[in-house]
Amino acid sequence: MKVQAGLDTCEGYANCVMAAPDVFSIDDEGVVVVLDEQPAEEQRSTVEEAVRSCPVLALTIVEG
Amino acid sequence: MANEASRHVVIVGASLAGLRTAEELRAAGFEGAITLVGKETHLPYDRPPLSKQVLTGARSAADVTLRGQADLDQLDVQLLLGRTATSVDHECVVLDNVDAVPYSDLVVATGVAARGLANQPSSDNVHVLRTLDDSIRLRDHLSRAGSLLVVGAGFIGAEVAAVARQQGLDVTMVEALAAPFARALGTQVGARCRQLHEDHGVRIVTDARVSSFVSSASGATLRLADGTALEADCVLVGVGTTTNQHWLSGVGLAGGSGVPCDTTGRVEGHRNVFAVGDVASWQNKTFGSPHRVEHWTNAVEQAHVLAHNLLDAPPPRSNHEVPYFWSDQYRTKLQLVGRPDLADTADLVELPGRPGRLLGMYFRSSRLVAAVTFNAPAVLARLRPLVATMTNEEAARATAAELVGIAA
Ligand SMILES: Cc1cc2nc3c(=O)[nH]c(=O)nc-3n(C[C@H](O)[C@H](O)[C@H](O)COP(=O)(O)OP(=O)(O)OC[C@H]3O[C@@H](n4cnc5c(N)ncnc54)[C@H](O)[C@@H]3O)c2cc1C
Repeated sequence: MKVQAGLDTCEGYANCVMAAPDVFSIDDEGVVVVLDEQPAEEQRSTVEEAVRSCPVLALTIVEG
Repeated sequence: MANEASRHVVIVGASLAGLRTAEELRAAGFEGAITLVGKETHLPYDRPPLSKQVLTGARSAADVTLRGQADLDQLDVQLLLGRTATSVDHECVVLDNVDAVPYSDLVVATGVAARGLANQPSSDNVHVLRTLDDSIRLRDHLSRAGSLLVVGAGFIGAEVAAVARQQGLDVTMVEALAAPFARALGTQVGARCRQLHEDHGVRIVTDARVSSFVSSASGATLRLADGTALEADCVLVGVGTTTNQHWLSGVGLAGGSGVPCDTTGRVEGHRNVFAVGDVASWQNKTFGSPHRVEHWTNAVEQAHVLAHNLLDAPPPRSNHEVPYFWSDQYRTKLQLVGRPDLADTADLVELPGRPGRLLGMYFRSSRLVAAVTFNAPAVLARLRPLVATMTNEEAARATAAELVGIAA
């Protein structure tokens, strides 16, 4: 699983950080930072929650 | 249960909870028919920006649409917009008192409506804020008003006050309780929120008893029981909500505050009726009593759980049992997890590093039931599992102390 974040789409809600703090962070400008671009399979449900909880749909999971 | 292809899921309420339920059903492989009914004529849109970016002009009405027409077409749902469910029985939902739509499964996603004050005048100068139309009207009015009066110190009032101050309006906030924001945040954290607004020049009047509320050509006047008269060009009433469930009397669900459900969204006593989002009161294993949550991610997570339940698939993992909410005021991002309303004690500390970073923890019988941060999402995220297990105070404080060094 690979995680992609649309930096132009991100509005800094930080809901992804709430769902998966080991995978996402927010920088001082309020833009998402992907801490772990290839999270382990055990992280799947939290990463999926992060994707769901982004109000502007800035996050995607790419399989493979 | 009828075989899947012959099922017809009718979802009433075409906003966040309704739309997400339709999407989750399709994502889970449901191939039967889905009808999504919504009273408003707009395509499903997002509400949090209505008290934030839409008012500042940073986002237009089109920018808050949740899904474009192409996405909705792809979802293969029959979308009936501008249609109101007026009644229901055990087989059909009736739209606009005339058209009966048969269902195999009914999903109630009708949300809540803004409550007004009993003596609130009907006037262009007096606003509530729940819909996109409300937000556009308020935005236009704020752009030409010199002063704003906010009645009710809750989140929506606080966010509108923040936008209005940033636009240079004189802002007064009136609250019936002794402590503003106390209903949502408790008195200690509420007091810090009050300070944030006072630092930005908002005048806050507490313990206010409204004795009269009248509008004029240029604004409105609120008189308080102690004789104070508060005048403003524009008034926003933000005193809470009422659930949109009156149409459910035919299935015995019109009464109370919220549609009572089990832990996965099935309505108590019904086999094929479900409820989701702001209108739904789900049983909660973590805190032990049914609870209705008017928060964005709650609707999203409940839709995820409910869709699996409706399809008799195993329930997925979800954090919905521990409510999560955010609010943006000035440059502060306030985030909250858990149930501050259950707490018997709470405290708030400044975090090191950048100024304006705070952590509050709420305890009930020395167990962590909620936590709030100002500008520190990573700290809050790591406390959430401790709220989910209602960790004891000593252990919670030890974890918090370790976390305090973490960059937000
Ligand atoms: C101004 C504002 C700011 C907010 N900010 C935040 C925030 O910062 N963070 C956060 O976590 N949450 C926030 N929220 C809360 C969040 O938006 C709600 O939790 C979310 O919208 C709930 O979705 P829902 O679909 O359950 O209900 P709703 O969004 O209320 O949707 C219900 C829909 O059902 C329709 N409907 C009602 N009755 C009928 C009927 N009889 N027939 C057909 N249709 C009907 C309504 O018209 C409406 O479109 C905010 C809400 C508002 C209003």
